[in-house]
Amino acid sequence: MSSQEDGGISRRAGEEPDTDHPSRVLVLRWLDWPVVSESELSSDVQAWEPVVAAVEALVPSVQVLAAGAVALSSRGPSRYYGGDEALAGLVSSEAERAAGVKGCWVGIADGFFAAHLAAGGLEEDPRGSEGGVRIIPAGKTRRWLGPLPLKLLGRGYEDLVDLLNRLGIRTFSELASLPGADVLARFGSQGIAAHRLAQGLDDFLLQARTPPPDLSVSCEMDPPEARMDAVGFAVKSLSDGLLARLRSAGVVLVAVTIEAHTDQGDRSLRRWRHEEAFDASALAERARWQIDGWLSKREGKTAASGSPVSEGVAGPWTPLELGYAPGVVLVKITPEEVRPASGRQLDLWGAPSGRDLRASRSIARVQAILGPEEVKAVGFGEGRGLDEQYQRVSWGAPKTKRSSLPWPGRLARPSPALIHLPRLEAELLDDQGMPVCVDGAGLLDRSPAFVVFSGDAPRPLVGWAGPWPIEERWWSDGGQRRQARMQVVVGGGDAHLLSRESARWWLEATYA
Amino acid sequence: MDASGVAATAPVLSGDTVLSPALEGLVSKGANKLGGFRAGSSSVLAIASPLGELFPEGGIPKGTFVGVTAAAGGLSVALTLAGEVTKSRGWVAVCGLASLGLAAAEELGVDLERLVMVPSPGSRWADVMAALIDGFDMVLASPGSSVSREVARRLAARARQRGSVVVLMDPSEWPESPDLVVTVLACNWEGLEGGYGCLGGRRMDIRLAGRRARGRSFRRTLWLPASPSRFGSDV
Repeated sequence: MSSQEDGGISRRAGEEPDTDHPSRVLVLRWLDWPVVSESELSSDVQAWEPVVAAVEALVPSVQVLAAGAVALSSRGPSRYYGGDEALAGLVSSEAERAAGVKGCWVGIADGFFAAHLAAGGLEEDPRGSEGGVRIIPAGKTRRWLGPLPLKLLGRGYEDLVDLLNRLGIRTFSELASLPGADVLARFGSQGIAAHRLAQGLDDFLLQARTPPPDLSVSCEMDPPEARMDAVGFAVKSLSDGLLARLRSAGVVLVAVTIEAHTDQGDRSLRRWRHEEAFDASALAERARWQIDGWLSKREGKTAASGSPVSEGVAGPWTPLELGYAPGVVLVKITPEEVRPASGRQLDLWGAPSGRDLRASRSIARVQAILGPEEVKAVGFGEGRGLDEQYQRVSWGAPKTKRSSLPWPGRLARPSPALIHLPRLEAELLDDQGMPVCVDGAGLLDRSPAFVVFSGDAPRPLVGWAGPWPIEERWWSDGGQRRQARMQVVVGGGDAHLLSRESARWWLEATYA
Repeated sequence: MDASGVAATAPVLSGDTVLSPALEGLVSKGANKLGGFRAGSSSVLAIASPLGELFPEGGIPKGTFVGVTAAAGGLSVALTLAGEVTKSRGWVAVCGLASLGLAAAEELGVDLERLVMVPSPGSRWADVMAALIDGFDMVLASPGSSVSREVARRLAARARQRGSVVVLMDPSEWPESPDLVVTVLACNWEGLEGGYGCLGGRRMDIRLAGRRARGRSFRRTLWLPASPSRFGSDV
């Protein structure tokens, strides 16, 4: 949205005309949205997604900034919704609803820098769940910035601000009143950038969040192609073309949707995500395996009846009610998520090894057969339960960091190799056959001699220890948990972990 | 694999001579026949002692099917083998075995960054196994329901070709007898008395037998674990 579209700026008599007039920008943010590191940015973006989607429903092109903020060009939407105040109120209520959290700040001003400051950036703005709206009328940005202290320039300008303060220049108006040429000569390019901001001029350009739809590539095959190697060639050239276009736009591909149609009207649609970024062969392989796995599944092929799926579809088909094999008529690849290309340089030891690549291809293969959620990696969680510190997360999904909390009451090493989920029923008996219970003091009322696992005959115990009580969340009304654990060894060498909860014994795990 | 997606079974010669896995496997086997190609070569998955002393070649020959009895400590032995693979920067896949304890895996030496799990392959067990054998150095699996002899043979051939070791928990239902069979004969836990203490370590009597063991059987008695995540030999 450039100022030329507007056909002029309204000026009141006596006001200094601006030579440039940056477009009106609206910035929406939460002040205490947690700041995350680069490696965790993807999960942060995912959490931010519903908010952005809610704002995008109101306004066409939204830019996602890191650390919980969005920016958008506000001139057009403001006219559409009947003014800046109406737009700000609408956007903030929608965003708060989508996020489920109140307290967002909205700032509207000329240029991104001022709008960002207006959205809760001043020192006296209250943090926490209050939020607010601040609208700087058009043309008044420089005047508004005037009395504000220079340290609001923020990160990257600290040294310059320090120097200016020591020279006695403390506010934006003082900086703006200096001649530009002198500022450039004395303080360099950083100084002149700050000078321009102080004058209310802003070069920041807003860019759309999603790639424009015509970046999707597709390939039609006429006559329909049933051979996988031909489909594979087509897919490879599609991927090459797409990635070249994205590369020239300075972005790399992170998530993509691959779609395929057959001449029977069936459609296979799957969204793929890469941990780092797709290269042409990775993209082509996923497309090939998706189509391959989909076509062979449709035919009801299993490895027991025909050749293994990896050999491709070139092989004897078992046509069903048709007289011929279905062919692929369309393959379409649509970029879903891109990221600026950072031009990472892989050093000799950082490049993935041949084994790593083999494994990741294999993983993509299995994902094509079963679906992306069926392949799991190990993530980390919190808790003192048996395996609560470990989680199974989908391969490629962002992982949490390992817990550094002590969690007293955790089961000591060695840990059991088999964890029964759901846990199985058990019974603990003494040598008379009477059931053993745990009393209120956490002690057994009898000496255990036999253990019974659901339905089996009683097995004699060779050793036992415990019970070790755990009481969790005693303060909460619904979330209390009282449990006592025991280790037992049965004749034959098997060791098991039992627990007593809700007046029953359970088999939690086996030391297999 | 070349770009067309057809698995490369013919050797691909480019600037450097790159042999397909089939040829590579042949070369190693030939060298073995010449007598005593020691562990540390690319034909054997090295296992550190003391468990490694159970294997005549100092490790598991690549491409073999290893069956491990599921009872009384077998899973821990399998996890220790997997740990050895991840230590040498290899990759391990687990197919099935949804109740696997990850804390135990880590304590036994598995690098969890190099562990991939497919807990519910369902009816596509054989396809998933084929895909995993292609890419992973070791696949730890519990057999899917009623696998036919044909499928078992095909998977064994694939493993031999790719040089991947498949560890099958509870091979009693497997139609083909595995190349190596690891059986835990006896297992004694230490640390629990009548009512006090806690599980510390166990002494396991392990036997290795099978076709690839050249008709002999090997036995070792080992501590697992003597102290957390360490094998100690019973000398």
